[in-house]
Amino acid sequence: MLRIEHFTKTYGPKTAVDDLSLRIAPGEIYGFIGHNGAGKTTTLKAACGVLPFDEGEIYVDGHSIKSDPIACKRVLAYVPDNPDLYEFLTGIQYLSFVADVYGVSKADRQRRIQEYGEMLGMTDDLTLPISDCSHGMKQKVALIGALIHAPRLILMDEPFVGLDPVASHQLKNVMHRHCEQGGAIFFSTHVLEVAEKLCHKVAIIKNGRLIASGEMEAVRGQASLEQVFLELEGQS
Amino acid sequence: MIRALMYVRFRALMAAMFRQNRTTKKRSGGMTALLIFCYIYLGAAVVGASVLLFSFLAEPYHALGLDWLYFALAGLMALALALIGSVFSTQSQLYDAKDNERLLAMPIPPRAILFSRMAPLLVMNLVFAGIVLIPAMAVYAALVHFSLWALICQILILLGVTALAQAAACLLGWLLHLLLAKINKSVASLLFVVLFLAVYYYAFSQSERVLDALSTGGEALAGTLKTWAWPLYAMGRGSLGEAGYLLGFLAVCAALFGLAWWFLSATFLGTVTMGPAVRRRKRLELSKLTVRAPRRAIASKELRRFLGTPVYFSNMGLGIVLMVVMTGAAALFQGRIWQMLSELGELADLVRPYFGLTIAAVLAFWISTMCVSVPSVSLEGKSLWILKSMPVSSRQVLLGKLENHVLLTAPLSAICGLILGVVFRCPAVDCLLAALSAGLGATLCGLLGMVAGLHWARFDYLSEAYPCKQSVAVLVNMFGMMGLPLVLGLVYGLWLSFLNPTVYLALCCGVYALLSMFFYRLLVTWGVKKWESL
Repeated sequence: MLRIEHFTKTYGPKTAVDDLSLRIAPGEIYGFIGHNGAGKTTTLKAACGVLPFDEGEIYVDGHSIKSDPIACKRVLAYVPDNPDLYEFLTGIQYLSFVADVYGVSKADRQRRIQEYGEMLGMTDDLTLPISDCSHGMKQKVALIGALIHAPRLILMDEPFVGLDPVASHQLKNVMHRHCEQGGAIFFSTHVLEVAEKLCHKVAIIKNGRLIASGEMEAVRGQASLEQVFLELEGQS
Repeated sequence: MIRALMYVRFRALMAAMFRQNRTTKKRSGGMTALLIFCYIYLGAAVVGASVLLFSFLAEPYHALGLDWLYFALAGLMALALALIGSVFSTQSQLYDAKDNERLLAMPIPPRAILFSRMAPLLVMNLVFAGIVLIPAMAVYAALVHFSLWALICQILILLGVTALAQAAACLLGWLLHLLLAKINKSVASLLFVVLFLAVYYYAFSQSERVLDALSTGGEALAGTLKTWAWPLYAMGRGSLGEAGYLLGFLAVCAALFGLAWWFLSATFLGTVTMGPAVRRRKRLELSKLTVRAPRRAIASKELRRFLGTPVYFSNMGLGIVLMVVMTGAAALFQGRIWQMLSELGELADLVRPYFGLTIAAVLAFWISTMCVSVPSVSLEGKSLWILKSMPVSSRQVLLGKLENHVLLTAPLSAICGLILGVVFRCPAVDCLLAALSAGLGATLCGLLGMVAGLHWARFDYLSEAYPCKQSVAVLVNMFGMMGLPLVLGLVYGLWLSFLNPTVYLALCCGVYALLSMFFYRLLVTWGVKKWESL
């Protein structure tokens, strides 16, 4: 579903991500962890076509994000760490706009808005201007917007930040269901307990370089993910 | 602490002027020169108008012994200009700055934050007041007389007017902010601008009548002003060097500025942290959702942004409102217009063939104030990721933004051209050509705006006022669209006046069409690449 090959991204003299390779198959929830500034957001942004990059290739569902970005973007959804949405729209206007751009039929968009709106407890708040919404409410609108076109790959940057416990629980359910239906999820997080319980696979990035990746059990062994992460970071 | 805040504030201003954006290098010397040229041009236009006006007033007022009234009027005009020029900036800089909450969370007294925000506004007001008062002083010195003491008094009066304008702008800005929080921001903002301009123009239209009345009864006027508008009287007298009045006027200015400062300091925290108006939730009616094509959806989203962003709507929408109002007024008062024209006698017959060209030129100037497309790229700001992550081509995004501009302005401009052509009884061909040139002009304005907006795109601004009114892109778009009819007019006047005006109007339409094609090509080639690199 997502294939990252020798991905390198530099900002001037600074190399943000260096020669990173990863493969995410359908049905997998893949966690991406690392310290602040390790290169997680850069990788996610490049994978969804928001950020151009220097070297390597990224394939989404077999299409290159460099040469065929539109085909890639049709099957993926991206949820950034900070839900900076269009403040001048209401939640429902934003969702309708996203559905228009993705070419979602009227019946499908009605059904999905209803379903995810109720699941995240947002249905009544969707008529409010986004400028009046709290951070968590904006995050929920961004999540519904990401799910409205039934993407096959979902890229999320810190998706649990700002969500209330009920919404976090519902999001985990959505993630499981998405993968059971053959979709894939690649998300970054600092909450190692969540990653440990939720993910099939995990990748750890340090200073732009991948230092560990694979099945969750294989990466953590007999220890906890937190212990492994701290060891790899040289903190324990 | 204040020094640190002021440093940050002026660094932000300098960065806005001399840097392309936070990631790239300094603005090139050429661009900085262009920016400075645009500001100088704007300043020179106001200074020129002031010199012209005051050169008509100085000697007659001196002859009538009303020198004080001359300076009182100059001060009043300076105050009005500074107020018009700064009230909206004051509101957005004081209350809408994105770093307000961050600074309030730090151990900084609100009054210090307020001071750091007001200092650049004071400089701006000083410039506004200066471009009226300095020409008034210069003209008076050249045509009447001027002592060194009077010059010192004038400089002090200039400072007083600046403080007075800032005090008034602060209070009006505070009121505007409260108004914006309670009702639809864009409508409130536009209503405020229209009301402000209506009062200003009414006062201006009555000024001649009032001045006539004043000149015949100077003493009576002095008495009235002394009683009812003492600061104005004191400003006039103080400008001539009368120390008592000067001190009195400065004391009033200082007191009002202090009062405004105290009031804003006391209310700053509450006003900045004031939550949005509690809105009643509407029922979600999913059956009413409409389905649009991607480009139409982008254009529609842009329209909602235009209508939902006060600073955007009040700056770029004012031209649209004025065009409709002026065309409506021309249609409504066409009898009076023709009566005035008939009073011109043979001259009216001489200029009549040029009505079509004149209408096209006037519309072109109005169109230059409708730069709807130019801030649309920068206004994406932090939500740029949305369009970038969507399966929509860069070309469609840019054309969607352009579509919003064209649909908002081109048909309206063309209809106004047609109505004005009919009001001024132009031949049918001239009416159609005036309409065509207006429609093409509006389209060209949108295309130039898109290209300029892409070239000078910035996403690191603190207030939306920057991309809407302070960026180089807006200046280039506005002056470019203003300069084109000027150039075409000069070419006609200097070299092509032998041509029939209708033929020349058709040629102008051709020029607009060719330029539109050029900028369209530029937009879908260079523009697409530029968008992708943002």
